[in-house]
Amino acid sequence: MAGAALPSSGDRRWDIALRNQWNVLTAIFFRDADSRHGRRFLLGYFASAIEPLMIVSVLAILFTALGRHLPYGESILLFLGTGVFPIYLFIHTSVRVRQALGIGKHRIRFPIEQPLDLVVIHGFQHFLTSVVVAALYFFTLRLFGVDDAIPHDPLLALAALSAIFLLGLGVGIINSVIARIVPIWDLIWPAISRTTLHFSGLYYVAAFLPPTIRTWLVYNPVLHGTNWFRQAFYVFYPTFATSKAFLLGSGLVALTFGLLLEAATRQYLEARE
Amino acid sequence: MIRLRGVSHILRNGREVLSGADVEIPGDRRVALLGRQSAGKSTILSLLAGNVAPLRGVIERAARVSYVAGYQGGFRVTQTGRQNIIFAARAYGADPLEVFEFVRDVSGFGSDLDVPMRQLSVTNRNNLSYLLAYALPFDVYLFDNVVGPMLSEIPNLAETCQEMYRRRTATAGSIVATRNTYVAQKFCDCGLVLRDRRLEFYDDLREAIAVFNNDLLAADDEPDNRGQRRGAPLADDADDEEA
Repeated sequence: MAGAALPSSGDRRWDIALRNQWNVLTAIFFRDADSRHGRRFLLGYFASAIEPLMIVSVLAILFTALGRHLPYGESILLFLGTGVFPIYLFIHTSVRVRQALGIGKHRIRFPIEQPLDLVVIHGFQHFLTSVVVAALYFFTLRLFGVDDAIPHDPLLALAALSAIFLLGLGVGIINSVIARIVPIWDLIWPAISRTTLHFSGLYYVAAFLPPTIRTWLVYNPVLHGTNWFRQAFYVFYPTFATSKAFLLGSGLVALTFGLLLEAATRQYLEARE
Repeated sequence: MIRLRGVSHILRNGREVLSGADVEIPGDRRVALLGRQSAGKSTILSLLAGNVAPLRGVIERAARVSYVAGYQGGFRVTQTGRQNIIFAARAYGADPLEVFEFVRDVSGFGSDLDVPMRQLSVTNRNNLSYLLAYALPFDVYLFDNVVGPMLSEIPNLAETCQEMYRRRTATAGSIVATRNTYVAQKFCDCGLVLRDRRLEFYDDLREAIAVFNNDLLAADDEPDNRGQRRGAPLADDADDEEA
């Protein structure tokens, strides 16, 4: 058996607590890795890839059909791709985290699992899937001859995605608390969150916009994430609205606020459900 | 050792189960949790297990405490018995294969462990929960009234569970919630008495039983408890309390 006998008297030990936490997280990871919504692995997971791919193809066809000149770079598919994946990582994370904190979820568990364990693991699984899908997309573009499709600084791209993920996680936890108090929020938030697509530089370069619009857009942290991500691909991408501190700060504030909100309302909500 | 500090808890129906309970429960003893009918014994087990968080106060566990044997809320019914057993073993830091083989061999379920658990009968799921609890290496095992399932299609499971109880509690602790002093004497050697929404620990089981019996006599004198029987048979004590 793993693990020696624990002290049956005395104080709790942090190393044992850490090991227990690790055991629980890995157990949840492997249990929930092979299914999502009860569907099988590939279908369930990569269903989340369909939405961004649809957006990219529709916009690419529109841009080509309307004869619009390219917003930036030499490939419309690459430009849209570098926008759609970070933005959808935010949208989907902020929506998906809700499922781990659903109604009655605190009841269907062994006592050693806590609802926040599910949030962490489901969020992490979604992050992994998103990174794999994005990597496949850019690799495919490279195969079709788009030289810039492999980021010159892959770590920078990963860092940008991680920062956006942090923001999505924080906003997602806040959402799940709101939705448990006001159930209609489950319908409203997915709609609201998709407006992020238009405010985060999916099909334009924020630096090239008129100053009157620009001054408002800089308050959207996701825009900073998109620009950050694009800098990993385009060496000379304009640095306007690319504050890493602002994105990370927003993410940490959202996460802290979300966790506090969840902790403060847990008793009340679990008793109510 | 499980330490309760100022623990208060109120059920959803407004009944107060604990009010400022302070007690230390040893993790290496066989403890009988004695309390009258509907006093909240099952709720206290849920609190000790960590299924329910107390409204006020802190419960410190310096021991690996089991889920309440028979508890089925941890199972994902869309997944197979095998998947659920392996998950529980991983989560509780045990060897998944060892635990699975033990449960499979003792239950004799065979291929039934490879179908989604919603296809198993409630009895079988309950039995699985008991066997899984015994298979996992806990420091304190929690039981509600009985140390083995009351209904089973597995031959001799009750005797097997009593034997496993004996072996597990040779090196680990246990807490058996009951109002049946016969059960307490058979499976425990010290007592935790729940009365007046407080918990008191007694090193000597006989002392605990004496206190508990006095509490029952006092209950008989209270007008709204008249006619309540003492030492009721095992079976109808099953789920008389709201968790």
